[in-house]
Amino acid sequence: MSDRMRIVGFCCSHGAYSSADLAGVMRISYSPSVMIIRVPCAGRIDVLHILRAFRDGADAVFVAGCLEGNCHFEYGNFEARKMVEHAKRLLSDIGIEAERVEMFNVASNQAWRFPEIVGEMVSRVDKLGLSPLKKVIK
Amino acid sequence: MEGGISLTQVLVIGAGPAGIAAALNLARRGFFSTVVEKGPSIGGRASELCCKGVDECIRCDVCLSMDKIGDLVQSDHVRIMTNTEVIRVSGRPGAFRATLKRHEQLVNEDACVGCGACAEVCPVVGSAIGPCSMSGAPRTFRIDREKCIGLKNGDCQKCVDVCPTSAIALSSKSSRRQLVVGAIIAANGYEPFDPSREPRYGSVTCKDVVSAVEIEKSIFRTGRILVPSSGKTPKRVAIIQCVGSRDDRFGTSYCSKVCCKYALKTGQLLKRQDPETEVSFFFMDWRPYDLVDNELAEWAAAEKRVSLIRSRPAEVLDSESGKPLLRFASSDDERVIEQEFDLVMLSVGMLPPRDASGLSKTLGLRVTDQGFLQERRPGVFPAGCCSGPKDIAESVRDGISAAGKVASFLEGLH
Amino acid sequence: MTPEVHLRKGDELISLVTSTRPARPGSRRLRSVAEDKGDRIGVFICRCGGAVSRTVDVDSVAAHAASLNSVAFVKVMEFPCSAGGRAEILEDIREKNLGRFVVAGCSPRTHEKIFRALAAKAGLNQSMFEIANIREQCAFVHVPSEATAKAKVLIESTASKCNLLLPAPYEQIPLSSRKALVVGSGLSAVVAASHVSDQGFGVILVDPRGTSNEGEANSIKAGESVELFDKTLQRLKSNPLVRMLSGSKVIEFEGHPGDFRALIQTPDGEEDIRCGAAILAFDASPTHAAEDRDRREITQAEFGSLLGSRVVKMENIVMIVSDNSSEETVGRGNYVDAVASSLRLKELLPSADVTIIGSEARMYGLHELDHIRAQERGVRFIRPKGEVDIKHEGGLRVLVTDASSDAALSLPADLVVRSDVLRFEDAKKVASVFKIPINARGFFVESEVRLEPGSTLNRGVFLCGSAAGPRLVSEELLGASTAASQAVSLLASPFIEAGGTVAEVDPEKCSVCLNCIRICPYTAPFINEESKAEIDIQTCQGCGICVGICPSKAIQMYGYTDAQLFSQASASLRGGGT
Repeated sequence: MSDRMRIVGFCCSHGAYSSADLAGVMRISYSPSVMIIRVPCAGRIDVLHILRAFRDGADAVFVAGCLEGNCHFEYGNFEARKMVEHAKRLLSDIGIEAERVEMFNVASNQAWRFPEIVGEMVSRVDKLGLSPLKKVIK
Repeated sequence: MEGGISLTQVLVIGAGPAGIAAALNLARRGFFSTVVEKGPSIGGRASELCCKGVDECIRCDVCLSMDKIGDLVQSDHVRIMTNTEVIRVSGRPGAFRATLKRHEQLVNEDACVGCGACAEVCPVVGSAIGPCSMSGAPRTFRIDREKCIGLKNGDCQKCVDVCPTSAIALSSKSSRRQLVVGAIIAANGYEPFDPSREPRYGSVTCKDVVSAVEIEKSIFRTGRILVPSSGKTPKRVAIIQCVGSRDDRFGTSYCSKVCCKYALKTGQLLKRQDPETEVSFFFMDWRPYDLVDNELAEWAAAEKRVSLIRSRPAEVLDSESGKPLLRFASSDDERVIEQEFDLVMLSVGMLPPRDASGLSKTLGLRVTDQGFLQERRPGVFPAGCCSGPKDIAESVRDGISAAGKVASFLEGLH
Repeated sequence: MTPEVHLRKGDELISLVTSTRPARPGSRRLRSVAEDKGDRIGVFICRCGGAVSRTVDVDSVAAHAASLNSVAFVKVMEFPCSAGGRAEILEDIREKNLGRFVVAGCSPRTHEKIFRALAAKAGLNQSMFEIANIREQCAFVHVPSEATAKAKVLIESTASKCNLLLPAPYEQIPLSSRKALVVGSGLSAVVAASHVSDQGFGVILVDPRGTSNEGEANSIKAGESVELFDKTLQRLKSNPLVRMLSGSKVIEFEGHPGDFRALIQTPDGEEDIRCGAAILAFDASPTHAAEDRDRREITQAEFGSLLGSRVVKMENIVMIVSDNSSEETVGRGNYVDAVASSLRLKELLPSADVTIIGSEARMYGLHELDHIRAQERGVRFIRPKGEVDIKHEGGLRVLVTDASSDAALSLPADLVVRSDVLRFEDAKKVASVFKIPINARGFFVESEVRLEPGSTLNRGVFLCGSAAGPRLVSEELLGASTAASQAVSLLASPFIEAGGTVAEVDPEKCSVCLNCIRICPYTAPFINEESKAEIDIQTCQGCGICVGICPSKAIQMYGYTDAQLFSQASASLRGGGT
């Protein structure tokens, strides 16, 4: 396994994914370590997706849904937040820093926001170092 | 079809929230629309505004049009023509013949793929060529005529040479085309009040006095509200309401409806950005066109350093320190107070669109004393802000409603 | 934010959705035929006229894609989305016998529909393709060295997801009825009904209060709207497209957009009707003041009927405008109403002395012009400081302190007019029949999908009227027109599309825990006759919330199964080669 930083971002198609597209249009660059996985709604995310991503070598994982009160599926973003909170507890139970996983809310037209989120997660990994699981997986 | 009557073709003028909503609603019914947009981009003025929410949606509705642009460009029932104006309409209701003028295609919209190679070679500071829209639709680039040196002296051809799709032609000419449509929706939007028309507020002389439109642009780019002269977070901000609204001197005796709403949301964003920021609102009556209308008072009471001053400031001066100095009559007594701020935001109002009177003649619409458009003849329907100040949600409703009126009208021709 | 009460969240209502209903015959597990072409994936990489290829080394990316096990064919193209490009892909799919494909280029947000149509044209199921966003999310934001590496990973992870795609169900369902059901007794209802019929569609107007029968307009607001109500009602009565059921109410409502069934209780018994869409057009109505009050203190609605009778003799009128969001009132029209009636009074009786007391002159937009007109005609406006008192001894006197001058005033009044107290009483019952959530203040809740104003969580049911939120009369009219337009655009569509990225339950794994039923925003899951959860594909909107919540992992979602997402994430972490 290489020691490159890899961050998985599960992005809601309506909010965060659009924000990332718009950042592209505006040519606001961000770290290439982020890997965007498009989901129809942040509510699609299960705690398993977050845990599996760490097992597969992610240094950090974030879930990004629409702003609270503006979910295209009414409350999918709230369900996502619960999943993220749950994942944080499970991770800290096994000794992985809870800061490695985070929930964000992004609106489709906030071009600046997506790069900011990526910057935030990258700086967390910079501080914490690469995932301790990286050593044990091949 | 009888006597050249077109029962399925509709002309929509303006690609803002109202025009987009109308075209999409018509498409669902099987009508074909040609959306003609004078400017280079889709989304209208709403695409120049920005979401002011952080984590929680605060119902500014700016994302509305943005979210539907993708549907609009992918619809096979909608043809979009940017940089195009309607210059003549003849014929009769049900069979209008519209003449469209497509402006010079300095950048050919069909060929440009928005790669950005041109912007990299442009020798002009800040580049004279760039994306035509902040919304990302269409994805083409445009040339700023004021800045381009190639247009002025003909020497510079750098962008023309580098363009991989040969989309740029500095000697392009405008073109015309005709269209037969059954009905027309005029959704040509509004014009924000230009604060330089009110010299007393110093927006020309003082760099840190800016209109709310400029503030929106700053939020769009950076997500922050900053002091233009220093680039720092402001510590003391004045928000002045009714600039160009409820003011007979400018022929705008009406209320612009949206300013209280957006000013409050901007104020809340300032406090979220830095809770230490002092925010002072200057207003005559507080009338947010929103669900909760005493939100300002409740929020101001709960927050520290938010003051509500019922006063229309007399003027904004340049103080010795270079900061804007506000002079206003106290709301408690008649005392004149002078106070320094880091940033003054002018909550500019909405004027009728600049082309309202021209378009009203072309289309046969009525113009009110305030300059807004009203229905006059069958088959031509105004929608959105061109018929009076509206927020984005109301404009969308109005656009959908206009689509229904078009359907009723065409149904009546059967 | 006021916490919103979601109707279906209540346990007592679980019974409502768990009642057994049969699956729609023939609708489930219908797979498209043209799927078994093996795992042959074609990858089409877009240069985008240089927009991608000037940052991403597409040839090296293509070589990487070709090295992937699952990929059978790779091609670098100038513009896959152009007509020529699509024709080329079509030919390649047929010639190379490809079963699914990846397009690496623009964002799916702008190009998904184009390639979905292409897949269908190629005889594949519409969902058998994936887009790798190497333009907006790669070429535009990364430097060339990084962009090429990232594009490789993006294509690899997208291909690994593509490899696991399942043909999704797609259906085009004909509408069984193209009529709209409009429910309500006020201005919004008659205006919405007239808009629908003007657009050439049939209307069944169910009028619970029977105002359409008696021609009584007492339920609506004061002012010119009474005239508009009467005029519109007369037009509806002579319209053959409109059927009116007066004094009736809807007691059952079920079905899908384009195919609803409503059971209506009419004075002559129960009637079963079919409709394609429904509009709930309830207006909150002004309540009458208590019987034992002073007769000289009335509401704006009562003052309105007084003005309507055109015999007004009172000289001194004081109007007290309550704050719009005070507990007992709804509607932002309090100030607008007061100014409008003051103007009408001044027209009838120019000598009248009118004072309007209100804390904020909420005269939105062009209503401000009325404010100015009233000032010109001599209406006095006072912003109060502290409480406003009324002295009842002898003639009425209103005691108020003017906030701007601090002067204590005592105004003689022949009549004191207060803002209407608006109530909407039937919300709960109607909401449960139509499965629409209501909020804490008793209003219907619109869907949060903001560019579809008037729509609700129950697709095909639209809202207008002041029962859907505070409204001025002008807003009620606009709302009615919008809801009618929304409903007609549904009724006019050639068919209803269902399916796509929808969720499906594996009955073998389902433990009937009801979690999906509780969590779904749209009441799509139900318990079928085999006592297992089943998801109605016509109702499912494809959010996937139920998939994550299901403890038995019995639910999967087309286009976003766990396996697909795991594989995509895993490949994006490990992929990219050297």
